[in-house]
Amino acid sequence: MSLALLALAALTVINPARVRSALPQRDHVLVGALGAALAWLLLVPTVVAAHVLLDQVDIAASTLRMGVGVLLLLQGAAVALAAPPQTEPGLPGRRAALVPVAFPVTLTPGLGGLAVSASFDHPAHLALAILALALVTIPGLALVWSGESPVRTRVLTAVGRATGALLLVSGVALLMNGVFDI
Amino acid sequence: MSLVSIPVATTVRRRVGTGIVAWLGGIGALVAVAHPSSCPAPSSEEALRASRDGVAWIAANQLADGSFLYRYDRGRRAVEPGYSYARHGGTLLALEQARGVGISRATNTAERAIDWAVGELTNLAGGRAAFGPETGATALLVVALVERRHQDGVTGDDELLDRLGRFLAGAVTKRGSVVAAWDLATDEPVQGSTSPFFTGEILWALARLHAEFPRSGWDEPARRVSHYLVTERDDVEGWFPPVSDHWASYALAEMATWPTNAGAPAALNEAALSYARRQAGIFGLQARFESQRRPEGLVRVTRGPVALTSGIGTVGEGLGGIWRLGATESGLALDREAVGDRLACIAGLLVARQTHSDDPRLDGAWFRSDVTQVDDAQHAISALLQALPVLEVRS
Repeated sequence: MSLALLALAALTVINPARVRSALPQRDHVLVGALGAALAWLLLVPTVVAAHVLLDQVDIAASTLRMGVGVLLLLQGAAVALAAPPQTEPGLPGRRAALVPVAFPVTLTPGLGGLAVSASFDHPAHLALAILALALVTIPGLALVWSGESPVRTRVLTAVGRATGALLLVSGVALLMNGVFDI
Repeated sequence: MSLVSIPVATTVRRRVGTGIVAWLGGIGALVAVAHPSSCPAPSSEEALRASRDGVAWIAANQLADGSFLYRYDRGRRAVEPGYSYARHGGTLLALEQARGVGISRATNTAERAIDWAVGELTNLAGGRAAFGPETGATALLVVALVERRHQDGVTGDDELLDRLGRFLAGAVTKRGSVVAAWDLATDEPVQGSTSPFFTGEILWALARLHAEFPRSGWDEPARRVSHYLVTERDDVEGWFPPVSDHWASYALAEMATWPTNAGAPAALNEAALSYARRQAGIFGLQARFESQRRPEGLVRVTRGPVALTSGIGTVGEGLGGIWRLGATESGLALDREAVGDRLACIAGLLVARQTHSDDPRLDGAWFRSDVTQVDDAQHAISALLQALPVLEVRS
């Protein structure tokens, strides 16, 4: 998996437009930043331990990539069909950064699988850096996309679905990458 | 806990629970696609021993006339009918390759098999000779005889090689495709006949002839076939998925060692290297898939039964060709280490799946569903021998 494909897959699986729908009106930038940071912190041990764990079960990196490709396809299809996530139910105040922002909206199976697969193809610090950059788009979008209106909500939903479509493309690319790799 | 917080806490739990269910589903999907491999890593000694046992099975069951036991069903304890000239040629190649690593029992067996093959030749006009109506059979006889020439330095077959080569060159069309069947009675090609493997076999035969006899012009038809094979064969002949072509892999590795002539174009261009990279992916995928198979349990359902040994062997042979090509063609830009990993894995599967018995009908053979065929031994031996350099480095 090239760095460009990893970056595209990370951005589309995180889908900042969908996460934006789950941010509360108050402190949305801060909650988004905290949620992204929490998600990243939970990915760190996943990325670091993935190599050891998967070496034990002897799964080839290319085979894993195929599996993650399928996972991204399923998640992309779900994003295309499902309504955007809402703020409620969630923990009150800034604790919303944990639920629902970090989990389950950001830390999806697709993101977890991608992190594991990325750790096989790139050094852990590089994989984590790419994932961090993709996660930064959550507070970044919250910063530039404030205020609520029916039109803005529809646009946000459309961007989320378009990102979901790109997630399908990323899934196919990863799947093919795994199939035709050695 | 306030009254207001109760319903919120409950629904948060539900949301978290839904997230956990999604994760479980995701893990299930991932596991369904990415099964663990089982790649027992053999030593080079174990691989060599398995090759020797395979040769011993061929030798012990060779018929008095020099042909091979073609198919045997151990469940019914019965020799099944049938024979294939192409597989005779391929088995001969495996025996000659085995001689090359010092498996002495292959020598006499191969000599008798060559005598049988020579007795089956059809002489044609124009100083040509064919080993049966399937052009691929003649090609494999050529590569086996060249292999023997490498081992012994014997030039007694050079005139025969020339006649066989002329027949093969005549089976190549202007476009570079090959005629798969030849009507020996009328000395005419069977129009429209194709084979997924004969193109690669004939390419390798012509490539070997050019390597041995660089002034005889075998490179011209070889280049034509090579160009056709790497650029359009699968599309034109309708092979989908693309042919997993271990013979082409042998051929490209051979062409990479062609003597360089001033003014002559490079043997392998970017199209050929691109084709080799795609083939490496196909071989790798097959190796990974096969290594995930198990004889029983849930994986038996999700991955199906183990493949025919001949098929597994061809994957090893294909990987072996790509591995050698990677050593001579820097432009290939492949992870040669990964190719070696898959090849070692195939060798491990072959070693693990070989039968050992006091019964000479069984000992050294590879069975699936109680049946073994001579090409199971042929491809397994060739693949194990291709893996030896990789395993020796790792030992």
